[in-house]
Amino acid sequence: MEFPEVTEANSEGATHSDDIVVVRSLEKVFCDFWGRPKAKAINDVSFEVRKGEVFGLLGPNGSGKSTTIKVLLGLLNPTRGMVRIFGHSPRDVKTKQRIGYLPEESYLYRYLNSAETLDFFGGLFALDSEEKKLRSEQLLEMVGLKGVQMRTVGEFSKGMQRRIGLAQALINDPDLVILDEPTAGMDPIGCREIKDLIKNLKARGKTVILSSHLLADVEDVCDRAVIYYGGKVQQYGTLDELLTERDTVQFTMPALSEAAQKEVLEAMGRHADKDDIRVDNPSQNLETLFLNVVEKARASDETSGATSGSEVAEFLRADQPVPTQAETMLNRLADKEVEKPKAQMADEQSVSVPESKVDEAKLDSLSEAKPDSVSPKELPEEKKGDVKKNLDEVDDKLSGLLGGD
Amino acid sequence: MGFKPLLAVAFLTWKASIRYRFFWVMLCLLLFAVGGLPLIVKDDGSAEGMTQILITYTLSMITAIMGAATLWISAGSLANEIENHQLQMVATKPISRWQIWLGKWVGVMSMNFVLLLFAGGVVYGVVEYRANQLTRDGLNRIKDLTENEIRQLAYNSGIAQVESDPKTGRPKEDKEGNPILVDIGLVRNKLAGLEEKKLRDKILIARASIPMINSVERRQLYQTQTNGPLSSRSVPLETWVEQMMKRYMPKREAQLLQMKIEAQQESGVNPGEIIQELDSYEKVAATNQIRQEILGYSQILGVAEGLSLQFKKPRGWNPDELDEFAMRFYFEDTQVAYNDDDLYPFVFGFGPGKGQVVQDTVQFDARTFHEIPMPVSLPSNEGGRINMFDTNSLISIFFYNGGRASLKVPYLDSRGRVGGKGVELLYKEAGFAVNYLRALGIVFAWLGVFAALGLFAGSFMSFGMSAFACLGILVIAGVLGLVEEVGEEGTIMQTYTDGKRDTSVIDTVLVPASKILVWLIKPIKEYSPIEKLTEGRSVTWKELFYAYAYIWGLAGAVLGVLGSVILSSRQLAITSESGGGGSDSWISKELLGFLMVLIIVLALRTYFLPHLMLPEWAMNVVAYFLVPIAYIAYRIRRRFILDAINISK
Repeated sequence: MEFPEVTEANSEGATHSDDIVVVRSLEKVFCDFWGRPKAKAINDVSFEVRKGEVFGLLGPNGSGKSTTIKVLLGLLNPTRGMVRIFGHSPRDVKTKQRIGYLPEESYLYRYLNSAETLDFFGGLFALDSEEKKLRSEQLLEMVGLKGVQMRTVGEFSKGMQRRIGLAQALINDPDLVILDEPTAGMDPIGCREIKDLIKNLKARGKTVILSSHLLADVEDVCDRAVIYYGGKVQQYGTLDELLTERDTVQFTMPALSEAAQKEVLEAMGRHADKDDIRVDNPSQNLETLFLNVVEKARASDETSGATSGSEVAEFLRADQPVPTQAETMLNRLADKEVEKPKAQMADEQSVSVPESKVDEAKLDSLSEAKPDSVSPKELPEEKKGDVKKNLDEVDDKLSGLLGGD
Repeated sequence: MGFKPLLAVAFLTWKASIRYRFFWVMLCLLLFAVGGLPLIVKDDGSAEGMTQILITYTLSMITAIMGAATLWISAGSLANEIENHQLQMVATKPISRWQIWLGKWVGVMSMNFVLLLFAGGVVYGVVEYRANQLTRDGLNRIKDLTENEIRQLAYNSGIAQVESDPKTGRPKEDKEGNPILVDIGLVRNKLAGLEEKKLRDKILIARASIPMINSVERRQLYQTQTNGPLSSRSVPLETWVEQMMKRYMPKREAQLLQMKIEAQQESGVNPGEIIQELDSYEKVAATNQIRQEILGYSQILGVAEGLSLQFKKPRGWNPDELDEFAMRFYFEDTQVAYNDDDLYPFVFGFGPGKGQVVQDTVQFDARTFHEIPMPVSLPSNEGGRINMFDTNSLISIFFYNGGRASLKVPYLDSRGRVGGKGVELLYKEAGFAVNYLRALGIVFAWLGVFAALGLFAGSFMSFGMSAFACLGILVIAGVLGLVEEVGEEGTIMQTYTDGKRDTSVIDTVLVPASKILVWLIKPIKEYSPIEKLTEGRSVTWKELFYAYAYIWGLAGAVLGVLGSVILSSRQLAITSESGGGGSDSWISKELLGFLMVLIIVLALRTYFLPHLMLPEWAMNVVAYFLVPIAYIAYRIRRRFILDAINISK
């Protein structure tokens, strides 16, 4: 997997091996008008982001994720510590050529329509007009706003604004994409598309920094992550390191007859304490179910809102053209997983594993309530048991989601 | 990285103002102000008055409307985008903050350019239409008159009826020796066009003045015997001043010495120790003062006294032999006559170099500008023509006060240099259209500063605050006269104690502040093209150049550099709304800090230090040197050294 962009990044960018972003002992104190310290938003944060990885900033609201990102982008000045992006200061103008940024909220010009928005940001990258036009069209196609490009951003729903925001972040085909809560306000299809997009970017050797308080987002796509609480890094490492229960193994197999099951259990019982063995039917997770339902509906219905986005913009695509249309993004990307490194494989597999292990609300409340106790060991512990949902509840949620956007 | 990002930002300003309909509202507003309102404004009935009012009114309206709108839009386009976080999106792209700043400025100014051209074009159209209307009205008036009546009227108005040789001025004759009459059609058109021609000669024109040079003579008419011929005697101004000083100096010195002795006696100096003479410093001061007074006095002409002034033809003006220029003459009666009918006789003469070719007597009323047409050359008796400018391009004008009373001809300007409004020679420098464009050019320069001011304020204040501050500056500029007075009188207090005006702490702040304001604003205000335009005076290329050099080069550049430095140093993710207390820019904080130190220094020097019984120089050193240096050292230590340590940790 050699990409020319990446080698370029290496030659002129980060000095230390593959580090694209280096953060050392970063501290940010917000002061009031008279210079009196008001709040310490981040405190002694250190991490580095390596070339070609998807890096997650995870943490509850107000834990310093966005502040970190804004320091990385030069929108805030650090009070203490050092930040280097591609080996340069965050305020270096030329470096910005290689960065794409999606802010936490839509900070776009409300009076521009989506085509004009992309045209404007393309202009800031000094793209020539033909290139701008080409990329705008492909990006709008990709984020599913092709049909509404004459409506101004001010009229857009929150999800549509996220989509156009995402498009502008990619107009320069950046080497480093910084996404601040990319899935906030997006419908599940949008969420999935964004995750797929992130994986695609990674496949092309791009580096992605992703901030989120939605654990599923991070879990699905990130290679490594920091977990913030109260402005401090609580955990830092690869997702594997953070999540794997080294002392537990899970088997998945076709349903067995009662006798066969008993036999297997007996065999297992010889190797482990009986109380530690659990057997249940894998349930489809909500996201997968939802996607299947919408996929069927999409074939016939039309919408005045954002359509579900289609293939990744051509200029953003990996070297080989991918056959698409009928296939879902997921399938398409899954095809390519073959080429991916092992860490990624493990990640992908967890998607197809029956139980998603995610109850976001619960986890959120947990990480907020007793953050210091958030450790990789406890994460899966909480998830056992309460995955089963009442089917009615699922229906309600589904119809709500579908009607909502 | 070229200018593309900058242009993208500039273009965005256009998009915003069109989407928010600002551009169209401005177009309509301007159209209404310059096209509609003049129709209902009253004038004094004369074509000149009408045109003057039209130009003054419309151009002032354009400047006011566009100035206010420019401040509003430029302050808003930066402050609002910072507050709504949109600028964060721009700042994370490969564009420097100064490029953002400049891009906004270019956007606002390009819009101003279009709007100004539009509004200016409408005004020009209205003026031209009204000027042409004068001739159409004239033709209408005389359309029923017979040929003879027209010739009679034209003759009365001084329109030539007989064709004449332009070189010699002699009438042309046909073969039978009869004079050739000018075609009646031409005469009719000339008669009808008289009003328009007058307007175009006086107002719709760009006239510049021929500079007066420093070679003035005082003249005196005298008679050696009763009823004998008049002779004249002339003395160079310098000699005259010396003579006068010799006459008045001893008297003045005696007066000053007397005052000095009295002052010593009052303050209780022993009679034996009283100094009985002026020291050298006092003498020099007295001499300088009396010289200024006498120079001023040289403008006053007693009966039969006169002046001879020299003017040098500017290089850019190369008139034809048959061209004309005009002398503008203004004088004041030293004892004001309230009777308007009072006319004062003058004897005028002029000629090339120091020579004298033409002499005439005319009567004028005081305190009014009079214009006398002057020929560039005159036919000579020996054939050919005599140019009124000699080989060194010099022309002399002289005049005597012909009787009645002492009169003041202010040939010196307010600073005592030649070139006052008393005598001016005006020549046609360019047409009205060119002059008008140059005047609009100066208005555009002003708008450039307004835009820079708005953007500067928007760089570190919220939209509300910056709009308020800009409005304040506009108001202050409007009442500049008052501010100037505060600066000159040294106090804003109008109360008195023991015959002395009170001072207060407020003065320590406001007096220097007003002085700085005047210093900043006045030069900009001085480049007022509107007044010149209504007087038919040329706004020269040089003035246009200086206007841009000063207004853009100084005011604009300072605001631009400060504005973009502030914008660069501030943290865009912090807004007043998010609790950053407004600006987070260190430079704006340093500016504020420095301003506060300035106030402290002034208060210290005025109220605190005098109590310490220190010598004057020591107080100055402490207040103006030690305190600011200490403050600057403290800030440098704080900002550069402590912060550097923090970062390296």
